[in-house]
Amino acid sequence: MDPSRSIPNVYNLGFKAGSLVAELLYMRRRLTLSEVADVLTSFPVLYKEWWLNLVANDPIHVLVETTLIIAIVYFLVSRSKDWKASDEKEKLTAKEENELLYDWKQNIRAPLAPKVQHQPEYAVIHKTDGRTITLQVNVSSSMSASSVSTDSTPVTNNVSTEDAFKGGATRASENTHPAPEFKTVLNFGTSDYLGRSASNSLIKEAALKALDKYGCGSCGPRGFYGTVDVHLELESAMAKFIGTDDAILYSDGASTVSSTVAAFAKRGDLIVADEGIYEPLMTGVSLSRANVKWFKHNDMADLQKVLAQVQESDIKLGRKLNDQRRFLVVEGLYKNTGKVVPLDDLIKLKEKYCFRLILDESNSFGVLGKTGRGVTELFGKQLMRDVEITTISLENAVGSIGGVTVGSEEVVDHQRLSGSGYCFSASSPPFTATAAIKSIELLAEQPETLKQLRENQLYLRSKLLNLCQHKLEEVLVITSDERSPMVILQVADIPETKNLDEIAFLSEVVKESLNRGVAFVATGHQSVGLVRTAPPPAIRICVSCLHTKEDIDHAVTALGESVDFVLNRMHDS
Amino acid sequence: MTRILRGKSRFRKPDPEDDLTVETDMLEAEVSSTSSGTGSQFDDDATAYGSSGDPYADVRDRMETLAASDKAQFALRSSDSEHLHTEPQIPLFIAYTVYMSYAVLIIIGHIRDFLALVFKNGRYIRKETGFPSDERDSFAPLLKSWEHFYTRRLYTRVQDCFNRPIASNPGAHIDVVERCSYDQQKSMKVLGSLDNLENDAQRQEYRQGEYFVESENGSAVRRCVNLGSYNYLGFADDWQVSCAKEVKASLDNLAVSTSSCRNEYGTSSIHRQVEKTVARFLGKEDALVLNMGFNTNATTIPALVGRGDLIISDELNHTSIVNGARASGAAIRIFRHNDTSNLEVILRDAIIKGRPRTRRPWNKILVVVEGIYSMEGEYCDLRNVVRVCKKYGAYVYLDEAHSIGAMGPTGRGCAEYTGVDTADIDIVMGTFTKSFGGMGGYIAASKETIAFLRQRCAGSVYHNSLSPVVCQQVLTSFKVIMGEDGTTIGKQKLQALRDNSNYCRMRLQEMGLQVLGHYDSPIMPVMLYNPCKISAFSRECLKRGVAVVVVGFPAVPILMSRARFCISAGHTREDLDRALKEIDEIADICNLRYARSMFG
Repeated sequence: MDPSRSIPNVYNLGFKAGSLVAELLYMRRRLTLSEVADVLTSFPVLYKEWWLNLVANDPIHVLVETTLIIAIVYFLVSRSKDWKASDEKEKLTAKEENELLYDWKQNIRAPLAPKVQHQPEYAVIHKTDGRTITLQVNVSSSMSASSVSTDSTPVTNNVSTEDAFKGGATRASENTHPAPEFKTVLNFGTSDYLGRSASNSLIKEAALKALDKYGCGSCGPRGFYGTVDVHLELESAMAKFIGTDDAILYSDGASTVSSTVAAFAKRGDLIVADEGIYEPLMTGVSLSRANVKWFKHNDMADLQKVLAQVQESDIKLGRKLNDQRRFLVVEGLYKNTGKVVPLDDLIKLKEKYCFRLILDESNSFGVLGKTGRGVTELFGKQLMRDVEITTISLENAVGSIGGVTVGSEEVVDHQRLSGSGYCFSASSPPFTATAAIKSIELLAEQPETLKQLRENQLYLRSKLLNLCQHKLEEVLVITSDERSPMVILQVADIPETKNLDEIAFLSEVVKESLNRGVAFVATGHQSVGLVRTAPPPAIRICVSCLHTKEDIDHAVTALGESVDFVLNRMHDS
Repeated sequence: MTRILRGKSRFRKPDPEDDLTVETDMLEAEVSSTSSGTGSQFDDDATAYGSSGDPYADVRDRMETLAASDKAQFALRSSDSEHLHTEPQIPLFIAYTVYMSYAVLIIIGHIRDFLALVFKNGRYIRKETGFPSDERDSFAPLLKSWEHFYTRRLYTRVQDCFNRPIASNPGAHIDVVERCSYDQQKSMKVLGSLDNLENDAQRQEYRQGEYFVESENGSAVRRCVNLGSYNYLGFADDWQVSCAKEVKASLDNLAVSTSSCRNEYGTSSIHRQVEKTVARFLGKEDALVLNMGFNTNATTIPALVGRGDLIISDELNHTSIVNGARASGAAIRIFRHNDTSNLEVILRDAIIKGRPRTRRPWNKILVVVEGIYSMEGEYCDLRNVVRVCKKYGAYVYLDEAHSIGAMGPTGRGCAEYTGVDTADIDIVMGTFTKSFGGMGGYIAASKETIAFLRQRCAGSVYHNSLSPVVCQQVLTSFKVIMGEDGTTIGKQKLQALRDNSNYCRMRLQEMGLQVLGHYDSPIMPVMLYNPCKISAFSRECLKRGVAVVVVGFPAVPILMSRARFCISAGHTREDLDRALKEIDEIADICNLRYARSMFG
């Protein structure tokens, strides 16, 4: 400790500490307890010495520092006081708070659901064989909820014997309603293109067999004993049929699509999507929270423009290509418009600008391509190589329930933990899986159904073209692709139709057609302003392989008559 | 394959000769259950069972006392003085070991990744495909690195505990298909027939396994007691007698799928019947039936609320609710699980302060809660939720996915159990997957709300409708539950489910396991904590012929790994006793008795 005496007092403290550390580190001397005690006891004395010396030797230094410290403390304390004061002022009294609460509850709160102007009538199906459907005609009584509310008593805790009997009575009173009348109409409304409906005994047999073995539901998500062996069979059958590493089965078509998009695209990624994508894809895109850019529906020139913009901003920001995951999101056959994606050009662009492709083949699988493998087959493209991620709903041409995503091992395995519709939802009932397996087998075994569908599709199209050009004074035009079994008829943009309320007109036409024994679908009226890409006002006609030429003739005639009828009625009124 | 219908003696369809006696039995049961009001209904239900047939006669008193005290404490509370959540405080020792386990797993994983990179050899090095998207210079990797790392190096180690395929109906006993991995746990393949094994020794090992059976097509399966499926009312067990005829008949007229959405040609007369039945069952004006339970939440919430609205959601709500809330564009606030005082604070604050920045008032506020929380086994503090929401004018959205059909004396869910009038709950959602043995979900609400949803809910406007076959299944099971099939099967099922669950919960608690949740709930999670115990517990159970669900991160917080048992009405006491005996042994092997000591 002696050398410390020889240096000026100001540096005594620092010197002592430094020498202690040096001794410990470099001399590897062990510290004894007494030494530690010595250091601790000598510290206050040294500190005092240092401080007094500092005041004596350098008073200006001390003065400046002290002023600064006082200033800082003052500012801290005074600011916090200010804030407190303003908080006090802003704070509401209990009375004011209660007034706000009361006011909100009584006056401001919006009703849970806005009143629906008119409750549209929905068809209630009694029986279907694919080609025709039998509708319950006295729909109004069965659809309106009034009968429900009058018959039911709000059931709370106790169910008495009375209630049990009332249940019986309700059924009895329902039976005393005038016996339901049925009407059989030609079915041009469902997307069951390949006739996988009740009339297909093979599908039905497969479903019944599974029902016998497994019962109805699977009672659990895939992770927790909801994986039945037929689910795995369907996955491998699908992967084998379409030619990918693997496939993953979801229990609902729409959630297949939205979960898949959201499983891969995440915050910070970039999605470039077609404006015309349908609702599930749209939901997937918005759930992903990625940055989204849109291009005009099916317009490759516009896509090129958007992609070039992305490239430009890359250069501007100095961003590398592999800094961001990028996805193109399109449909193979657009549900809303019936257009087929120009996959050739799209893939060229995608390769040029380094995007991955998420392709939804829900409406094209089973329909497009030589053997029904979808739009990739139509354009001779290879899954996994040209199209990284493909989603397929099993609810259209396959005629079952659920959906699959196909792709490389990486793509499929990732979803088994990240696909929210896969992880967090119960798996599909086993009988839907066996029905789908059979349906996929039939695609290979019965190529004639697809051939028949093509014939019907061409015949319908030629008939409709004829009708539109010659009979309807071109009020309606076909806007869908000629390869699509789903024909979209839209109101033509001509002076005569300028003042026409398209949505009302089209739904009237469809209603009138139903009276003439043909079921079409009017789109556009269900969902005004609900999503960005609501389907345009149109009539959708889905042809099936089960239809005969006479059916199609009848349907086209009925459509022509209905349009004339509605137009005349509108003129009159 | 011959399926043995366990619990057959209890649930069998009465012979025609027995009809008369069954009828009178039912009447007696009904009368006795209602004669003494709602409060003490459970005590009387015991008598409905008949003294001769009660398998739990010896423990009945204890069970009922425990259940009654839980009910009084959690379901019938009138004030929200204390926080209800029973999530345990994690002792320091456990937290330390859990973090250490994950640290070791992660470090080893990174070492493996590093070595794979250095030696260019490893099972996760992608084979050269020549696909353009594999070029690392121009494409960002498809999978996010941490997620992918977790899957590769942590999840795959225990992946044999998940996604186990079964080869039977999901009843009280299931055939779990044997799997093996040919690529060091990277993927699991179905073993198939024993001939696929390499040598006789392995074959012998399988054959000597106690629960090993060969299924009809010769593949190796293990016959297990099923404590994993949501088959609460056991419709999977007695499906052939209770539902088969009507369900199969639905295929005569209708197809597997309608290939159309509800608003077009996807509504069959059965759909409407189901909707009416649901509405009647729940005492609501109308109902809407959609194809998938997950989508019911995910599409209804965005239809109901949007920009300018506020969703206040329980922190443990299911992903489907979270997805729906996110897709809606509404503001989202979270309240502490089952803590209605916290809910009140948030609700009050939200109404007073209005929207952030613009300070305009909210249009509407939707409070979303679940009837039974699937990972906790707890039911909702519905009385207080409804009280708070009523006080401030928020709308209540109740997700009864797990509780409908499984709770309450007549199976009407959490609302009935807690004695809340369904008129006070604006929207009741539920699924048909669980108790009803079907698929899909419903929304029950006022006539106007349903009419609005029919037009605006994507599930109704765009998505394929529920399969008519499933609709028939739901309808038939509803008839059974409501006793409209003229039998007391439904009543017995409900009673058996409640007894089985309470018995199982009581026994598990007596073993010193840390069991979450409340009595009368059929879901009972048991805490495992350590990641290594997830696989150990699950594998030991499977070896002993018990199929259980284990849950780890990310489905639950990283410290809170657990096993979850779902009890069914299809279980007999013998099944449960056997399973509990095995679990008792495994609790020793894995040191699971956390309720007794923090070292298990």
